[in-house]
Amino acid sequence: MLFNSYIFIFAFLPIVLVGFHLSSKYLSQTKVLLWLVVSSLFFYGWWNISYLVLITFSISFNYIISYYLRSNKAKVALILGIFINIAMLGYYKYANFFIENLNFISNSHYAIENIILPLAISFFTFQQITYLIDSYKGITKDHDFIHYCLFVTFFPQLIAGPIVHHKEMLPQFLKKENMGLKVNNVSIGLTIFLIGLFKKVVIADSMGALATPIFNLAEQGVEITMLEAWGAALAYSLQLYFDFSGYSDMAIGLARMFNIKLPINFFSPYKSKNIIEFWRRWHITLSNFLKDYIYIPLGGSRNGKIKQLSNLLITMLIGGLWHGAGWTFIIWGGIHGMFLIINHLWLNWKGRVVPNQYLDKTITKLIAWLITILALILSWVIFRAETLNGAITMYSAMFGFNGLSLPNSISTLAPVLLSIFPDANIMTNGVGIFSEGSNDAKIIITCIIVLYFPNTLEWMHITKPALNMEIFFKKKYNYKLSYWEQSAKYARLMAMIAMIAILSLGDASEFLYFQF
Amino acid sequence: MNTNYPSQFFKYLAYLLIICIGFSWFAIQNNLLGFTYTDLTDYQLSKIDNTDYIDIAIVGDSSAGNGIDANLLGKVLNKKSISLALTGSFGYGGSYIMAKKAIQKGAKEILIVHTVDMPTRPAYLDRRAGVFLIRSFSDLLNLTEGIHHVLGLYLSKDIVATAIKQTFKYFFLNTDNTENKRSDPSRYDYIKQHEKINTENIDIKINSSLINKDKFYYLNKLVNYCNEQKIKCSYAHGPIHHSFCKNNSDYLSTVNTLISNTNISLLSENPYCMIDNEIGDSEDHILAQYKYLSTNHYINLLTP
Repeated sequence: MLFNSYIFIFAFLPIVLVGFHLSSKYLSQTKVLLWLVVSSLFFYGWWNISYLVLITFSISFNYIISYYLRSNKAKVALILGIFINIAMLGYYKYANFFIENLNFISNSHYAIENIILPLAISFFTFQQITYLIDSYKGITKDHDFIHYCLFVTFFPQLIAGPIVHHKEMLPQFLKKENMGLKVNNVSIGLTIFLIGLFKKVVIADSMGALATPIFNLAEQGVEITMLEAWGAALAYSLQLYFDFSGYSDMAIGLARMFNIKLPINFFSPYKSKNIIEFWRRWHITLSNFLKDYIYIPLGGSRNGKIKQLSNLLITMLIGGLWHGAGWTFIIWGGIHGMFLIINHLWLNWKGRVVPNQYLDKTITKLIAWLITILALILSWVIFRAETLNGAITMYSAMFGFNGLSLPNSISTLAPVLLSIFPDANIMTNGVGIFSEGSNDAKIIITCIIVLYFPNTLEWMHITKPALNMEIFFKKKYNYKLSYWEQSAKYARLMAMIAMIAILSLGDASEFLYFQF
Repeated sequence: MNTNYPSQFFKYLAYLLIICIGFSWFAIQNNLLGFTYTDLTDYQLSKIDNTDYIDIAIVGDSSAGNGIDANLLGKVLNKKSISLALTGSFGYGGSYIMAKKAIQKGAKEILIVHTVDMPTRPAYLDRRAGVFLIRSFSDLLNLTEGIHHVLGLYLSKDIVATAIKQTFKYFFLNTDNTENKRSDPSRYDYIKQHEKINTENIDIKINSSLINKDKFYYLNKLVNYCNEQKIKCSYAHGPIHHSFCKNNSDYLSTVNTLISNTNISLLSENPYCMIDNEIGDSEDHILAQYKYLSTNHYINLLTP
């Protein structure tokens, strides 16, 4: 069941909300939470009922091990717990990849039945590993099985995050005042959910319609021209951001309707002026997980610069592999690891390269932003490509190896360009789907939204919409646009946004992050 | 805290929903959405209602409607044949419903004929087909896959946008809805064609990457229904301009594989390739005067 489907919006969500409210009124708190667990499992089982067996086993196994770890502090039990979790993830997510590569290296023909990746396995596995480690460290408390089930399965965040931490979630489930519908929270949650829905079905899907045909052609080995390739790469960068941040907004909004705050997951990442800043703003809960449970246990920055940089690279390679079983994801992780290394080295050297008085100049910041955004767009190409060949075809087009094809509107510039670059392969036959002015306008408008407008959580910040937002609100944001408030004006605006989103539900598509 | 916020939000949303559904409903009721061809759907549905028995029911899109003369086919094969072809907008979803209705009426064999680029078209159109074919409450229960299909029709952006535009035209510009008026299906056993197109520059190339695998959802459903009912169902490509046949071996091979994967019997891997003279008002419509030629092609395919 997708968040952006009629069945979810018009049936599942209203029923679960009404059930939550009525059970809060007439039943005990445990029964209210049980209602949410059952609803969440129903939501998960809607895709494939057999997945329920796997998630139920995973929850029960981890609950028992963590219970044992709290009282016994046995390292063997911790290793066994982590091993079983990783083995399950490895089998379902990476076995096919491993066999393919083994066959390639050894020229063998081992075969296993095509394994279907259970939804959200990467998310709930990581969440539970952190719980096991913290139980071993004595950080977790004794919790009821129902509370633990809800921590793992709570439907707003189950499928694609944000990755939640037990110390953020379990205390909220235990609070009596969080039971029953609160008009204020329903209003805030509904607003955030609708903004997320709009981002997904109106913006992300329209960007996807521009990017997908070009990436598909690249996979077929068809030669693509330079502007087409850049257009598709930019459109995909926008699609991914609006798709995933839209999903996170929807998750945060849904949870808020049930009086639960989820952690912040995105904060205008494309406004970053370096890659370190980007990873503080993009998929923040994954970045935190990688930092706390991989980078720091590897040694972090404790053992000298070279060890720190190699730890960064390893962490990002694992981060890449977490996204999917494929060389394109591993290379993407490696590229970001290299970006972070370069960024760290630059922080050490920049004082020697650029005089201090220039570092705070607007032009310097603009150059920094431009380099960062170009690096990101280039890295998303390999992330999106299905094969290495597809990525190479895109890159060769982006770097001009297939020539430059001008849009019809500026084809008269061809002679001028040829007089400057006589050997260049400049064509005037348009640039496919980007020949249409309306498509170019869509991309430009979307870029303006990304770069000029406040993000959802900024716009809603007076409502404290998510956890861990303080880091981004140290300084006051001054946008000319007014912030959200509970007024008739904004009720009308949100009704319009809801209507536009509902009209776009007919061709519902899955979220990109479902595959991870 | 403003407790009026949710009530105001839902009030305005309700107004907007009523306006959008109202426009869609009015446009559908008054036959203003040209691509639905209500005259054609009424005509084809009435054929099922008015027939005592059916040997072969031909379902598909306009390539089938223009390309197969059901009377001729029936006479040669000595089997009672009817054409239930709709248009490309209904996709495989439309064929599934027409085939299902024909089988429920006792059809012994189903021939599915679709134009070769059908697998590249959007899948959501197929989901709407059922809603356009609703004529009774039992249809509502049997033809749609839930209330969300009906919502998908009345609340989809292209339908609402077209409905608003056409309703304003209807009231203020007083334009004829010629698209529907030209059809007169009882005269042609399908829709009357427009003028013949210029064939000089036709050069069809379709890239396999454009194939939408979701498109086969209803073809799979159709095959499963045929198997359940133990009815022989087979598939054939619609007639197409000869340039397609020259340029698209990779695409055709991929499409054939995907069709065969549904376990339907694919009668021929190749379509009937039309020369320039035979082309009607579209690259996949044969001129009425040559309809017998393409019909003979399908007769040969169906002859054991």
